[in-house]
Amino acid sequence: MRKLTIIQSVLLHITFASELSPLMFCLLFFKKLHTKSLKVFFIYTCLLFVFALSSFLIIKYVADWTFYYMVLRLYSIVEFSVIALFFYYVIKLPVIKKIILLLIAGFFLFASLDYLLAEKSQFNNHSNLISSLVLIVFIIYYFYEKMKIVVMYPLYQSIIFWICVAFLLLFTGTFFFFLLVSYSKDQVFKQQLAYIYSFVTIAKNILLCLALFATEHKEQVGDELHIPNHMDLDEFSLTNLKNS
Amino acid sequence: MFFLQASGSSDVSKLMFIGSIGMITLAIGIIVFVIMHQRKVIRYHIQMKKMEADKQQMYLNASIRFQEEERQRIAADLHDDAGPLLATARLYLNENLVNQEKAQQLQSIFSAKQIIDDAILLIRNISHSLMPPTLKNFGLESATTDLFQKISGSGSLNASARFHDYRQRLKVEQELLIFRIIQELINNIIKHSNAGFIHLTQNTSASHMYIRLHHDGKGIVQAEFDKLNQMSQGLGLKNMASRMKVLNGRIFFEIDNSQTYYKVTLEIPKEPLV
Repeated sequence: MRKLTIIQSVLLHITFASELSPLMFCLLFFKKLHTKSLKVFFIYTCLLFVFALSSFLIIKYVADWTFYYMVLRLYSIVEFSVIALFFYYVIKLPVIKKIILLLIAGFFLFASLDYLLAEKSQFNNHSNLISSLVLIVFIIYYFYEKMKIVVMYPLYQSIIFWICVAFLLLFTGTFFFFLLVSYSKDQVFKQQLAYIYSFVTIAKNILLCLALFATEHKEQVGDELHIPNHMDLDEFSLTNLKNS
Repeated sequence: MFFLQASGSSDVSKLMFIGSIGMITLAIGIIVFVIMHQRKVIRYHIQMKKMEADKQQMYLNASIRFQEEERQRIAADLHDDAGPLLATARLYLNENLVNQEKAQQLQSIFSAKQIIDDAILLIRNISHSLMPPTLKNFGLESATTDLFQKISGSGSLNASARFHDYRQRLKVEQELLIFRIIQELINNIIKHSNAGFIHLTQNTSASHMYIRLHHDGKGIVQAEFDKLNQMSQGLGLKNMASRMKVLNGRIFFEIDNSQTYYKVTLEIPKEPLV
């Protein structure tokens, strides 16, 4: 493994520490995580914690890149699934919800196939690129949906909004990183990539932590009635009527 | 960032920097746009609330006007119907009655009795229209079923009502308001929709009571209801809206997915009146 400069080493450790912080803040503000989407977010922070820790241990003690890339691939599949699930609960339109479920299954198949066919000792960026693109679309759709609904409180007062901002920053910031990561073998270029990745990751984690400070307001009741699912008010039929 | 150390030009660097900064700028632009748009929407919402307050005032005026019209109707009923009836009865029972022959006396008394019976019936009808006795004594379920039976009995319209869960009665004032809304809805259906049937379904959840009316005539959807409500006409709709407001409930007009029936749903909370 190549020796790191002091700046790189410090940055690496800050990035690592920042990956652990969202879980700490989630535990600190656990009472706020009452909706399904926020529970999924909690799972994401757990996943982030486990992955960051295992990556650190693999790099430090195992130093097996093939194994590390396998863990990375597994992480990218689970990360995509969890974030997509988060948007499944956040987005309201049923059609989009169905598309999200289909995309999770589709992405799982693609990433697995891509891993089997690709070179195992090299970092493969295809699945990360696709997941970034898809998740950017989900985030933009979420913003679009929120813009359509009339609410009493500003969107920036909600936890979910800041989580989405953090994800948007991560996926847009790392998009070119994933696009160009396998393009050049030049070490200076790789360092530049590493700096961008680190800065974006740290910014994302800071935003995820700060998101939990937001005061969640109860969602505004819309125009439509909220009739319980079990209640059948449409029992009407012509035969009923004739019998009555 | 660990994998960068294992795998291993200035144009590509430029592309990466410009690309990444461009993407981040785009993301920030989207976020700023969303926030700005939200602020605009909230400002608009506050303005709408002000308009809502004005609408409330309009509802109040409509309610007062309705009360006045109701009083005028009762006054007209009493003056035009009960007044002449009693005056006629008085004519039959004048002082000359004692001078008349026995047979004529009996005839006059019989006619006067009939007229007084008619007057009693008329006053009872007026009283019932003010507060249906079935509603007061037996509750909303009986009053509604009674109303639907009467409509069905007329033969012009097939009407049925089914209450699934009305074991716990609401307050009499609430029941009266709901009954008046149902009456108004049925009135409108009969007058404007040319429906062949009306069916009412009632059910209750832990916090709300739901009443849904189905009919196969020409109905309206929520947007039309809101539009009609904004207009100066449509006193009946405004009354419905103001009664729902008093009940702290909501009314929702829609068309069935099959596009065959229109539905009107009332959602009434099981809580005190506002």
